[in-house]
Amino acid sequence: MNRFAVEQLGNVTCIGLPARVDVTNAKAFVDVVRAEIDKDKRQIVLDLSHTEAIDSTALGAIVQIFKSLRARDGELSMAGVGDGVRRVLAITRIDRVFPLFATVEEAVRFGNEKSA
Amino acid sequence: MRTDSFSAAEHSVLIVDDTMANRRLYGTLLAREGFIVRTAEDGVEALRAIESETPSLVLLDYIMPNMNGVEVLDHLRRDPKTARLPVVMLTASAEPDHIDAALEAGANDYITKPVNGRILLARVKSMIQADRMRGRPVRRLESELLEELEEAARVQKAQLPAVPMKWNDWRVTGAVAPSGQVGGDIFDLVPTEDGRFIALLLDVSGHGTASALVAAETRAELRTLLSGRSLLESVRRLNAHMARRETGKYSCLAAVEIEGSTLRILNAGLPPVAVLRGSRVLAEVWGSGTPIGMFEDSSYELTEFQVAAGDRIVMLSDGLTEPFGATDDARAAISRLMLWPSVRDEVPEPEVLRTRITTLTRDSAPELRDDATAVILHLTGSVHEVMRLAARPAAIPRAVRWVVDQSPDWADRVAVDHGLTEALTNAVLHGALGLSSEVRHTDDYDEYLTLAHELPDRPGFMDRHVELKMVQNADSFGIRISWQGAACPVEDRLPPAPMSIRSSGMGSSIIHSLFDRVDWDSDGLGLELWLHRGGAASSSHRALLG
Repeated sequence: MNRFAVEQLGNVTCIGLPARVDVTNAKAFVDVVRAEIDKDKRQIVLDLSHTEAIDSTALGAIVQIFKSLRARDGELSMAGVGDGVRRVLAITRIDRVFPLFATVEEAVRFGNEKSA
Repeated sequence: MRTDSFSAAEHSVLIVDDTMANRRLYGTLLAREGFIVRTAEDGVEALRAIESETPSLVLLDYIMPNMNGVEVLDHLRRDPKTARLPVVMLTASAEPDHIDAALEAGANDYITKPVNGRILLARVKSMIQADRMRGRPVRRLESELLEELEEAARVQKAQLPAVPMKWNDWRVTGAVAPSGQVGGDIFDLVPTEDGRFIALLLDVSGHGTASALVAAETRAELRTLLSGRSLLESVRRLNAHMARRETGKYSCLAAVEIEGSTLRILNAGLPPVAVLRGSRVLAEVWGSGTPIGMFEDSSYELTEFQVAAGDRIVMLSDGLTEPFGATDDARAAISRLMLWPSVRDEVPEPEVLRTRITTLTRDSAPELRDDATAVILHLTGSVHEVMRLAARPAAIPRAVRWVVDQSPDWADRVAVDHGLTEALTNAVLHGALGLSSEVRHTDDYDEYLTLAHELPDRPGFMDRHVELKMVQNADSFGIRISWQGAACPVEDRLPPAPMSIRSSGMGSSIIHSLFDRVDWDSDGLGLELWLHRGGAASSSHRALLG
């Protein structure tokens, strides 16, 4: 439930999020992504295809990761965002900050082109 | 009763009543207050007693054998020596037409039977003082007038019914905040012998003493009329009465008559009476006829509803709608006064309500300052589900799932799921565990995440909990979350302004955006989240909040 699957696709690191990301697993999420950033990964895609709900703690964590990556000239994007999560992103206006892609494939293609 | 400017011992009252028990009762009340009391058994004896020594005031029964009260009064008014002698007429409550006859014959005031001791003393004293004041120097009159007003304000307040009142499953409360010392707003709660309950809100045109007198008179008369008569018939008669009297004043009246599960509402001139169900305004009633006393031949109509547990009716005077928008906009005042139905299934204490009214109207523009009154009727008995959860992050998803399982019919799963998750996270971490939201305002998110996971296991935090209470009906769905510990700061309870990207404040945005209504407890130790079916109430409420 709380596992975050990491997959390297070319220059892009894709991290799959579970059904819920909230205060119970936000710290684990941050630890996983930070470990990738520490390995000099700069193009990160969050795969939310299986994610039904995220809370503001998780959003706060995502914003922190976004800032860390930007400071290192990296980029964060999201893929497979469902209606429920999209509504929360819209309310908090975070949908205007990150690139959002319908599928992981699109996000990965975009990331690889940018880093090429 | 104060005696610095008025000594009862200097004044005599003549009680004229053919019933010995009444003479004794009134005599005891007045003598205990210090008045010199004399009595007469009938009209003839009364006229003889007045001829030998003129009293300060006559308390005159209406119905007496041989010579009735009106005939005695007629004699007195035709004699120049007693033409201005203060006379208070005692009328039977079942005979409202006697009031008209008494006033037409020249009575200065009237009291309906059964007599309320406090009202009797207040009326006798104020009538004697009014008589004494004729021809006094202006400066002294001013100070006495101020004292009079203070006394009148006390009497007016004492005339309001005791609230909160319980009647069957209904809880009723109300509060009046006069713009001056005395005002033209008054409310009354009348349980009748035939099993009905009537709540009234009266707003007499103008304000000050004259309006207060008309309000008291109108209320007394309506109470009398309601005994054995329908609300509609009583209002028709009251209107005809007041119009004939030509006082130059008229009364706006809102009335709610409850009989079983049927509710009948009449609103002649006041802002819409709102029937609230959950987060919806089920109906608004206004324009049932012209204000009482304006036109003798006015017709009135009632609007009827079937009520359900959890429903709430709110009556407001225009002193509470005009400062917040249009006169006919009750919703703004309902939101500002926090009068929407609550999962707690109870009505605010009258002192709390009065403080809210005073606080909200204090800064109104001078031209909008008016007597302000609110009356709330709440039908209890909503079905609740209650859950207690330990103050642990891991308990939050379980609690959200519990709510979702309990409310399968609610279409807006995003609101229930995401919004409730936010609210519970705040309740657990900030409310119960006391983890300051300031931690989230720092750029180092690690500290927040670490504390969120470590705090619950520290000694002293193990037994903390959050309570969840849920209520739903056909139209609405409400969740109440409460905790003990840290109060949510006031600024976090307000709907947030559109925000730029940052890691703090998003929880508040999510909560306020996903629910139709969010009501915070004034102490910051709880909140209620409401959803409803249909769109109108939601959008208007959001507009008010925004």
